[in-house]
Amino acid sequence: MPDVPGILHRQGEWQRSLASLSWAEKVRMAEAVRGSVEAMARLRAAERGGDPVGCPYRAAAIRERALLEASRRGGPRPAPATPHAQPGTPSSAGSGGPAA
Amino acid sequence: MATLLNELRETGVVLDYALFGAVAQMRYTEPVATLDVDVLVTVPEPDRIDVLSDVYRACERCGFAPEGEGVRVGTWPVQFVPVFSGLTREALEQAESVDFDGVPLRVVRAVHLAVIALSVGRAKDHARVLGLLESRAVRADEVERLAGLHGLEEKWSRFRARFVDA
Repeated sequence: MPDVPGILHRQGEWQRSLASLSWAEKVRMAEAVRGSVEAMARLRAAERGGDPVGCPYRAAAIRERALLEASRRGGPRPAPATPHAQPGTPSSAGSGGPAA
Repeated sequence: MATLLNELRETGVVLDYALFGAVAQMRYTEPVATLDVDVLVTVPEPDRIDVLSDVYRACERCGFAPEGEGVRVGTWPVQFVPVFSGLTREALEQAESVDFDGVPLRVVRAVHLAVIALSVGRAKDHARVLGLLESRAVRADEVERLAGLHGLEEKWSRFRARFVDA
């Protein structure tokens, strides 16, 4: 019987040890697996019929801009800005890329 | 990418920039999977509707074509995000210049990265906060203090009860 807790422990230790690499080296490692991650994200998007990983920061920025515009016009204010992006909402859909 | 971002700043297309999101996180923790690069920016005319059009035009002049809502630089899609809150503005103002393969690259500090993630609040953002805490890039009391300054006390309390004190 394999020592599952031991294996997981060693795997965790190995993963944590990667933190000591240089920032550039870590980014290169992320770049190496980016294609696989993208393929999985596309599959998820296709299954859900939308963009599952819209950028929440962009959504928040859009809301802030709407608030600013509304306050300038003196019209009714949109709902308070929030950085939360709900998957499948128009603000998060089609952002062209996920939040990192 | 670092060269492009520095060029945008030196030519005044952006007043300042700083990486945030997963690529920024990797400065402090082990590598994490991500699809793109998020860059906070301030621009000379932040009230324009097409606030990023000058950025995209400048990127295109440098040979980096717009793609979706970002720009592709090498294999990475880069998303420019104008500062959208007091927290992100402060994160940009206090960002640090770090050597990246011999080129200076501006990146938000770990505590701002953690509190921005706390404010967003998805599962992977929670993982980011935990990663930063576990790597000791930031202390819980630092996150608590900054979260309090930006009205995120309740979110921090919930996060702490669920993930830190549990």
